[in-house]
Amino acid sequence: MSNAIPIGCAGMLKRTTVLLYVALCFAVFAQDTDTLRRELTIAQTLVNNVLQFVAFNFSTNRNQDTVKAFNLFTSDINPIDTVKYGYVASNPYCLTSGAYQNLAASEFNPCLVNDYPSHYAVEIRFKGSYSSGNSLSTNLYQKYILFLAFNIDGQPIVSSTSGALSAVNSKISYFVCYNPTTVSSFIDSEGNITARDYINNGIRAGGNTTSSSAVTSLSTADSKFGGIGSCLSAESSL
Amino acid sequence: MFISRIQFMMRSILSILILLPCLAFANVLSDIKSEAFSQLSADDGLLLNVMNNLALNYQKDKFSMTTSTICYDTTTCSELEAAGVSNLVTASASQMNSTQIASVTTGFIPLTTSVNCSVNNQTARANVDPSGFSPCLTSSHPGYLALEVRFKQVASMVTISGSLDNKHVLFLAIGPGANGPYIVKSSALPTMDNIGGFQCLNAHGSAGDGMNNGGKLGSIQMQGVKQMLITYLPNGNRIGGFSQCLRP
Repeated sequence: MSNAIPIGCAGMLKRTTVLLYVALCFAVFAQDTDTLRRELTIAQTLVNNVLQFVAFNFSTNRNQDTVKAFNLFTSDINPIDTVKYGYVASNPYCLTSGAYQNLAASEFNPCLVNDYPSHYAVEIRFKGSYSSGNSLSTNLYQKYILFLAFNIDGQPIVSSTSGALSAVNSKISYFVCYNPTTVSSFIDSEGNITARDYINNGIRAGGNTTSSSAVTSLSTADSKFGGIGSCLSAESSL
Repeated sequence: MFISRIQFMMRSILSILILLPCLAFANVLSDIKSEAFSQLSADDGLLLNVMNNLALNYQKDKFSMTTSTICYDTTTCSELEAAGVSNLVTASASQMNSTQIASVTTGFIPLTTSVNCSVNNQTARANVDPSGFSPCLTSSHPGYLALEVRFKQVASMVTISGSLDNKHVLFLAIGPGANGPYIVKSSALPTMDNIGGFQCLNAHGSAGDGMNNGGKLGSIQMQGVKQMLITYLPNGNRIGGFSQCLRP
């Protein structure tokens, strides 16, 4: 009597193994996506508050020339590292030779804001790891997003001495999220990525929408000024 | 019956959801509007006092009246001093803090001035001559009895309404009567005993003109169209006030 498994049974076993492997992969993906979704939801709550504060603060202090840091309460579950808000410099210059280390609290990452000179904006940078030592999801790990302030006329709020714009630019109506895959300074004229940009490194916050591990929507709502949920649509990377 | 009630409720909720973004829009616009209204209404009181004082001074001194300037903003006071404005009064700190007006100059616009119109490109603000008037605003009205109001800039007062920020208006005095003529200084004897009222000159101008830089006092530009945010103030007076400047 032979110990060999009949050919038909071996085939079934192989198919079952493949199915189990696929199911396991999906389970791991699902778990990763759940973690990312949880981190994004917590970030959404924080950002909702930040955007409301910035809009309110702007209405009573819109002449603030210097970029300021928003102090976040230190919490173990907070995935956000820094929040900065204010007017982008009139000529931000992005050095493409490497990562910007230890940017001052009064300085936006120039590569992130390079395409938005003089715009009023809020920069959000995610942490690499929590105080417990656990890493954030790779689709958030040290990534950046930028919220650009818009007025009631649907135009970005840009620093200007024009008397025609002084009234309409005196209040923020909403924010539009910029969540780049790769910032423009690292893309050549033919559309090729020239180097690692140290902003989102080819995968935008929340994951590229073409990926199965990306989170493209949240079940909780953004604030009336906007929020993290708006960063998850494919259009926010443009 | 029950189903139709549910349908009605669903429709109501849907309408509210559709209206929410519009309400957010309306809130921001009404915030801008009410801010401009409340600030200009408060400043109107100060303007009426100055107008009444000017009327009394004219009644008393006629053509021998001198120009005088009151400044309500330390930056503007320094600018006026640097320009050699002689008859300059600095308001008290509490007066400075309570108004969006930077300075008010009253009197006869000089017949000739040695100072040409120029603009500080950094502040988008026109210069003043030693009389306290801005040549850019008054050069076409030599000899007119006038009152020039300059508003503060957001750099001096962070809470100033955008529709008041760095604006300039000129009030020309007119004589009494339904069709009173302008009161203009000349070598002849004065023909009018009193000021009957004022006519406000409030022009949009153009970007970089140092006056209203393309948006006049009380206005807002949306979709390329300039409109008045407010068209009246509640405490109008027979002699004048900012209400006169709010015509579209």
